[in-house]
Amino acid sequence: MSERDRQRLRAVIAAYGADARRWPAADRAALTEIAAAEDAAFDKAREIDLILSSASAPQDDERSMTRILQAIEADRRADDSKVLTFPAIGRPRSSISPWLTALPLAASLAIGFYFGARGTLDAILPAAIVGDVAAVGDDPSDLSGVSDMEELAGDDTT
Amino acid sequence: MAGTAAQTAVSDAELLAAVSRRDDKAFAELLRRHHGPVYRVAWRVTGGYEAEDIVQETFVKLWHNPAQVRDASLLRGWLMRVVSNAAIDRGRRRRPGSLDDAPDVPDGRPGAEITMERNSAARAVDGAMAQLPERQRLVLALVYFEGLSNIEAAAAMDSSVEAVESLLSRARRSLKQSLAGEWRGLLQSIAGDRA
Repeated sequence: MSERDRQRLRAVIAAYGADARRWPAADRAALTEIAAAEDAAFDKAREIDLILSSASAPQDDERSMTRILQAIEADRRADDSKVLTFPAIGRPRSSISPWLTALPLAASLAIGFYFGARGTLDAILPAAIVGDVAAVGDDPSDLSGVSDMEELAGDDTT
Repeated sequence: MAGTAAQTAVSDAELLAAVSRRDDKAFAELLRRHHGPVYRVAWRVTGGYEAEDIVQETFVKLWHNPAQVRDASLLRGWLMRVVSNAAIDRGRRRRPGSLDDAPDVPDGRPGAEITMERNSAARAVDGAMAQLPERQRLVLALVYFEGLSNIEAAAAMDSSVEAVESLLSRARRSLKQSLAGEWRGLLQSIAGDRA
């Protein structure tokens, strides 16, 4: 028996007592074989086991269980009383598909593009909408008003 | 939940699932199965004080949070950890006591009656155990009295296996030291009672 085995055996006996059935399963087989050499430690452990076995033990308390069940029942009742039930509010649902609702809007948009592109309605729309617009090829000085400078300088603005 | 005969065949896993659906009959069956060890651990750590409150706290926690037990096979370990923590917490808050002070006669509270074998040897041993630090009492309760493995006890105590074994050794050594003056007499008395 190595010193390490002896130390482990002593530690197990000191912790779990002399009864090998109480020892950790992983150690039990190996330690049982080398245990015979440790009679003194066993004797001491057996004495402590005997002393411990004489300690008082409470009996299972039926009234403790009843008390717990009553607490649970009270808790359940409290939970139930917290639940408020509201009458179901019927939300009106559309009888037609949302896509059908979108169809007229899409058709209006398409018609607007068509007439706008053809200029069919230009005669009845304001000039601000249908008049000339700036193009990429325009002289930047025209757009900035620089070309009007001489004309404006001749005006009597005082 | 059907009758008693059917309940014995129902696993803890099924009962836990039913408890999460607020089935109080399933909870009552779980309580019946696991109350004993939980109560004894609480009693041994608190010396009888507040054991019922601690046990109630433990099982009410299970009622509210059955999903905390991720695997029904770990239910006993979960209960042991909760009761251990609760017992240690309560013990720290109250004055240091002795099992001799514990109510061994009805004290007016429901469930306070505890039937105990009270011969002189038992009284001496109970008194010596009551003088142990709470964690030493707890480790004795879990490992020696309830038969938890070192791994289970370490999990219940949020500790390591090495720490559990060290605590056990110290508890047993302390017990012997505190009873040194009457050791031989106690051994003879106990052996005589059992002969």
